[in-house]
Amino acid sequence: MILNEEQQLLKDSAKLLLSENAPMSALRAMRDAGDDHMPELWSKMSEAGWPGIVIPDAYSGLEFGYVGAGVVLEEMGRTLALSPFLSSAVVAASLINQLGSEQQKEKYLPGIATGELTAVLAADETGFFDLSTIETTASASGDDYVLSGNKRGVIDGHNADLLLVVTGGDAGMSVFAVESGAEGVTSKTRLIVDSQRAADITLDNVTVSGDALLGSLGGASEAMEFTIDVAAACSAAEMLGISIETFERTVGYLKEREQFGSKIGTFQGLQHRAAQLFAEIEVSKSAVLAALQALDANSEKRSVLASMAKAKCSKVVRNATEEGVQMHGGIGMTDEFDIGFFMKRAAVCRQAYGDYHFHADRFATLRGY
Amino acid sequence: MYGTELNKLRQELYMAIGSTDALNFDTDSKGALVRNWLRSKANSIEGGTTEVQLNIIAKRILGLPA
Repeated sequence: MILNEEQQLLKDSAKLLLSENAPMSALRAMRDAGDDHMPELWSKMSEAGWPGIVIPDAYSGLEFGYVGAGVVLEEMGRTLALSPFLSSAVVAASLINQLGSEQQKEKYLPGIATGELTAVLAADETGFFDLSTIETTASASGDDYVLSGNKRGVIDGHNADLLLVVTGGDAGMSVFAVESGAEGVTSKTRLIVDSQRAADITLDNVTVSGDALLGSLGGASEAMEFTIDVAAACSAAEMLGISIETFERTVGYLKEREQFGSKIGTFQGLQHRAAQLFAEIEVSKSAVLAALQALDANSEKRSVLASMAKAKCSKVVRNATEEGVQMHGGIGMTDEFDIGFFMKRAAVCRQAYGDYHFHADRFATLRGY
Repeated sequence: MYGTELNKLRQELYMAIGSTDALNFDTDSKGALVRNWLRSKANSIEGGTTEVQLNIIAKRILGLPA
């Protein structure tokens, strides 16, 4: 399971673009200024065409596929680059592409592909990703629909132009494309631990026209399952990047740092933990690539592989980032040193789009337990 | 050592139960959950890391050879 030449080239160019435009210092600067996004980075990513990576050519996308999205996300994980790439260009775009009519795809996808339009999936209502507990309702009113409900903890939801609101109730699962500025939509933004923002969104009798309904009323389940697969596999790729970068920095430190008269890398206890983590990361690389390839091939195994990748990488990133801080000792726990930033981002990635438990359960259910 | 490691597990559990709400980093007490989580990581380092404590137990208490 290896990347083909094009995918490798994309990975290399991603590494370059991100090291030039999104080094750790950029994240610190954003945080210290109290800003909530990185517009210059998004601009550079848009110039490179990345927001169109999974969007079909017919709608101005690169149609590069999910392995492409994954390698970019892995590199983003390595530099902790902050952008709406995962939430908008990958997850939201995939949902629109899967569920939308021809007109809807033509309406939204080109804007997303150029980076001008950002969209975000607004599904969670309890703080946990769980489609079975959705209470937001959509009632028909002539040709229009009236939406009411609350969405909680939408990461990247504070700046998105378009909210893909998942509704439930008697009408069944549906998705509506709601403009974030629409009347009746209020949003409360909160600062989260990795300096991103999450939005709690209230829809108070928001009227949307009939063509805001993606697909048919009550017909969103299958497309939502696909979107979960995309979000899981791609979020796993980002967590993989975080794990790898943290691990490499930590091994480097073990080789340099001296305490008690020796390089701490000579201590067998630490060597064993590092070697264990090495094995876990290798396995995670395979899990992520398998999940991404299954998406590109539209294989029937894609859901199992996606949840497996997300569950596995959630565990590994937790381990890698905790060990990263611990093994760096006294400097690891400071703000001045970068390693803690990886742990904070990992906490957010682990929660988004279904945590370990959600995906372990989904994996088990899909396998017939 | 035992207490700080247990506390790290406890804080991880709180974070898991806490959902995306637990990620809040507000400066008032609402952000306390994530701050406790972060602080717990430092507890296993300051005052002698977990690793040093394990060495002490191994050598001084169990008498394992150096």
